Amino acid sequence: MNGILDIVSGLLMVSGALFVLAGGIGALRMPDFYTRIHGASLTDSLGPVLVLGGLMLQSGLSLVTLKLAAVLLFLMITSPTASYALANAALLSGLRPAGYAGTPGEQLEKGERS
Amino acid sequence: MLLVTAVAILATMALALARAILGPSVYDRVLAVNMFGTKTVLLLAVMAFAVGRTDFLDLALAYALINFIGVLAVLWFVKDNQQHQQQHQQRRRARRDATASAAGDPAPTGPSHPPAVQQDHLPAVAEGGSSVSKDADKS
Repeated sequence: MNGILDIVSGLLMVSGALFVLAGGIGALRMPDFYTRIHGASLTDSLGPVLVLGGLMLQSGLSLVTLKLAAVLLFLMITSPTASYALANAALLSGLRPAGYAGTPGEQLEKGERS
Repeated sequence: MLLVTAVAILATMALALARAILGPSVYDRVLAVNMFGTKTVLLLAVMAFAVGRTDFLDLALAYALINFIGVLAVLWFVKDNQQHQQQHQQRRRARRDATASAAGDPAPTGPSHPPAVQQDHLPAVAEGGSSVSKDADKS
């Protein structure tokens, strides 16, 4: 029983670490700010769930599990909020995705709209 | 397993740091710092179990709180800074136009506009009017 729990917990943690690593590589290698925030924020939601879930399985039912659940809940609330605020601020400041010609209003201003 | 996870998280932190250094815009840097903070929370939780001191989880919780507030504060700072700079540039442009039309000097043209021909022979009123129309065209 204990061995199975350890194996499942280790599997969860290693898969979570793989997700986190994929997010880091995506944030470094993607060509554009919006693609970077895509990779970083998606893996920021799934990686902590897997890693902290594996730790919860190891700790059993105690106050430690409650603390881990609090950390997980807080991360699940704040990480998408921070990503949204970041993308919103970048969009409002005029940063556009690569290869995007602009909104129709901007195209009218530039006179490129056919 | 704990050590493998900790090493992977550390490698991700190094990648995020590289993006924070390389990032062309300020938002890339804020994104990298946000990632770094999240990974710090995860690393604290994992190391709490690896070392056997689960007190570290309190630190992880506090770090998650501070990280979120810090990212929002930096975003506010950047936005306020940009607004101030825009207002400053508008005010400076308006003042420049006013002095140019008053003194009869040709209004300094931006890099995107070619210099006007026959600047010396135009009267002051026409210069002021042309500069205003240029700015209205630009904005």
